[in-house]
Formats: sequence, structure tokens, C-alpha cells
Amino acid sequence: MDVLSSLLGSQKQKFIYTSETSCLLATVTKEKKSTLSLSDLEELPNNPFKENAYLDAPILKKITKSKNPICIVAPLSRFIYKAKLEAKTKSKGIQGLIPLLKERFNADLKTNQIAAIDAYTGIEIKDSANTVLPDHVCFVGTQKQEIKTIQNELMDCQCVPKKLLFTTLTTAKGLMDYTKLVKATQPVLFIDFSVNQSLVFVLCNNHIEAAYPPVHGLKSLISLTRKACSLPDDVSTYKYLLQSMMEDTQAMETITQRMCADIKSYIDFFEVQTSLPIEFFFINGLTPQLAWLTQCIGKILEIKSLQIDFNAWLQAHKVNTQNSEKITQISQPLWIGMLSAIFNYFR
Amino acid sequence: MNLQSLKLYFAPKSRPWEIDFRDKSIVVNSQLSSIKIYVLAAMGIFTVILIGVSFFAELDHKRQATRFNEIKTFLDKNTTLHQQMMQHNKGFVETRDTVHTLLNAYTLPIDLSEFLLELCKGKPHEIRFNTVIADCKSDPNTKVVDATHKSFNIQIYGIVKGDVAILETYKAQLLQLKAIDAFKNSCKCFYNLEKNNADQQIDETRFQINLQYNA
Repeated sequence: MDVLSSLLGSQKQKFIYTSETSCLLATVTKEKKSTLSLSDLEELPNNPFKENAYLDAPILKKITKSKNPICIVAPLSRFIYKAKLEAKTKSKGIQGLIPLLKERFNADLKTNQIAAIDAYTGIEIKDSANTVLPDHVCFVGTQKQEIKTIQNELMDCQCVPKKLLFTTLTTAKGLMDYTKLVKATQPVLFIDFSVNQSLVFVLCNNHIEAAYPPVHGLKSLISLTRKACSLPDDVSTYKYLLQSMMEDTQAMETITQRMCADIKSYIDFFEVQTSLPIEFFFINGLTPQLAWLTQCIGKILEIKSLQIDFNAWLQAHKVNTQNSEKITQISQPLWIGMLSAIFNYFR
Repeated sequence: MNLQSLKLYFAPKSRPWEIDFRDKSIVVNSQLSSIKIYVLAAMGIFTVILIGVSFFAELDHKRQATRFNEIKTFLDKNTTLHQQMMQHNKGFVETRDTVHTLLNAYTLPIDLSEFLLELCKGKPHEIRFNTVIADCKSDPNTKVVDATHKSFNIQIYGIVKGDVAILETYKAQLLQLKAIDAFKNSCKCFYNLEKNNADQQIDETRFQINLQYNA
């Protein structure tokens, strides 16, 4: 059908972007003259506290019988590691990466689904006789069981994904794409905020320059807030974080103190190692209600949040910007991963 | 180019920073299950068609059986009458054959009396006809009467007084007649058949004219 529709001059694709706290839906049509037209845009909340399920029932109802969508998901156990390969490891080929994963990152191939990518080009390294390993490798993965659970959940509602991508990588790709567009060469600290933990890595000149151990996630923040504000349970504390934390600056600083300290140490380490100052940062996975976290971290660490000029970015990718309402809706940091996946698909 | 490199060449290339984490076994299973659904659906449709065809065949069979019974009843009811009718028909056919035979025997291709009247119109008084025999050969097997196709002879016996030349003249005259057209090629005249007449004093010669009808 894709071939037929591309022959006819138009191509339609549904995208489903889900994080622990939200779900974004979009249908994109590539019209004649390569213009991208966005339709059926939706933003739904996702409850991060449900057990044995990834998506909320209203979301599943909404995506039921979606035809071959591209799904961008955020498994809780996702991780990203970076390693500089020594000549000895490189000489062993892709088999040399297995002990490296086990010894340095304690990642088991039996229980985890891991992809190795070139940290500079982003191209997946596949097991073949001709494979030449790059100097810098990134390992991106998650627990196999979690992938199965998400995929089964999607397929139970007759939504067979065409691709299953990670929010972390699509958003990182989006930021790299944007910094390339605006010719920004400064390193950007990328914090992938999640429920259990937040991944931290540095993007620079269209590649992943460094990856660090995870810092506090939503659960830790909730636990700290609950203690600091004497709240009864996690659900009410989460509600408090979403609705009232904006006004409580003191509590905000208290709960993010440990997180910021960890990040600060990474920044210092990076700056010492590379002599490149980190001036910008970006937090992925924050709903507008949690946007205070960006302000708080920026204030504590004294670095600026990366501001995206959505109009310039959308125009660079020939997105039809005539409908201003839709453009306003997607011009939010939350949509960067979704837009990046769209641009990458229709490239 | 070895097989390995060929396999790599045709393998789907992933885009940078775009890793597909799908569990392929689940996707294959779902595709298989969709194939199963299609196969089951096709089998279901086939079964429905088969049931439909057999239902209509059965319906047609019942209709044919009803019609057959109706015809059988009709035949049973009308066999005696039919046999009677067949008997009548046999009698009728026999009668018809007899009528045909009779008609064949008595029907001549020409009106004999009119023909004789025509013959007598220019006949000299020295010539006298004694006997006229019309001989019609009919085939008893011929059922259809068609008089114009019958084989037919006319024999005229008579006496000519005086010179026999009169008879010759008369014969030439006969040949001019329209009524004799059908006999023209087979008009034969025999005379003085009995030279040793009993009475030599009387100058009379017997003659015979044979006319063969040629349709």
C-alpha cells in the first residue's frame, strides 16, 4: 500500500508516541511537493502508577485497530550506555562487545534486548563478517519482557506496530537535528526523565559525546516530596507535583537537590574531560504540568534550557504550517520526539 | 560478490538513531494468526457456497421428482385412453391406405372423356373407334396420390374404311392437338393388324393406336 500511495504522490502514516506520563497521537500525510500535513493530533495523559500495564485504557481504546502505526515507546527499564572501544575489543568484532556489556555495564543479553549503535553516526551495528566496529559505541536497550508486554498490549487492541522505537533516541535525534539546523555546536545535556530513573547523556555536534549513570526519577521525587510535604500516598503526591509544586519553590529545590548534585558532578566531569562548557540542557518526558522541573534544575545548575524555534524547525522539514492551532499544539518540548520520528520517517 | 554480502545488500537498512525494538516473533505470530483468520474466512465462505449449491441442488431434485410424479400419474391415468386412441389410429391408418390404393387405381392424370372428345373432333368418318383401354399402372405402396406422376397408357382399337393413308393423315393431325402433347413422343399407330379379314369384300383395316403418357 505504501508503494501504491507513494506512486500516487501521497503517503499517510500514523504515529503513536507514549511516555510514562503522556500519549501523543498524530497522522501525517506526505503530500505532493513533499509537504507534510499533520492531522488527528491528540494529547492524552498516561498514568505512571498502574501495575502490569503500560498504557491507560482510554489510550488503548483510542489506538484500537490502528493500521501499522509507528510506535515510539518508553519502557521503564530502558538504558543507554556509551563506551570507547579499545583496539583489543575492536579486533574481536561484535563478539567482543558481549563481555564488555557484562563486565562494565552488568547488562545481560538473555534478559535484555540491546542494540549497539555508532555513537557518532547513529547507525546500528549488525553482526556480520564485514562489520568494522567504530571507536565509540552506544548500547541502547531494555528488558525483553517489557518489550513483549508493551507489544502484546498494543497487539491485543489490534494495533500491530510497523516499528517500535524509543522515545529517548527519537528525542535525542530531534535535538541533534535541531542543533544542526541552527548550527549550534555547544554540548547539550540531555536528561531523559522517567519513573524509576532519569538517563543522562551529552549531545554534541550531532553525536552522543558522553553517557552517565542514571539520576533520580519521578518515584524518587515523589518519595522526597511526600516526606518534605507530609503527604499521605504516592498518588496524591503525584497530583501535588503536577498541580501545586509550581508555587512551592522551597520544596522544589529540596526535592531536586540530590538530582541536581548528581547532574552537576557529571557536568563538571564532562567539562574537565573535554574542556567544552555545557551551556544548555533539555529534559525529555515532561508534561506541561511538570515543566517547573526544567526551571528548577536550570536555576540550581545555572544553565539554560534549550529553547526550540519550532517554526524554523517545522519549516525546514516542509511541515504545512497554515493551521496555526495545530502548530501551537505541537510547538512544545513534549512533541520533539514525535516530530523527530515523523521527520526521520519521511526523510 | 558472495552470498553474505548479497544478504547484507538486500537487508533492510535501519536509519541512523532509529532502532526498531519490536519482538519479531510476536509480529510473525500475529501475521500468522491473521493468515489463519484469512484461511478460516476463505474456508467459511467456501463452506457456505457448498451448502448453498447443495441446497439448491436438493431443491431442484425435489422439484424434478414432483414433476416426475405428476407425469407418472398423468400417464397412469391416460394409458387406457391412449391405447384406445392408438387402436383407432391403427384403424384409421389402414383405412387411409385403402383409400390411397383406391384413389391410385382410379385417378388418371387426364380427364379421359374430354381427351376422347378432343380426339374425335377432327376424326374423319372413315375411321371408327371400337375400343379404348386406359391402362394405369399404380404402385400399391404409394400412399400419396399424385396422378400427374403415374405411368399411363391409352390403347385405341378401331377400323378404317378405305385407304389406310387416311389413318396416317389422321395420325399427323392428332399430333397437332394440344390434348395429345403429353403423349407426343410415344404415339404409335399399328394398323392392318388382321390382314386375313374374314370378309374380303369389305375394305376395312383394323388399327391400333398406342399412346404412352409421359409426365
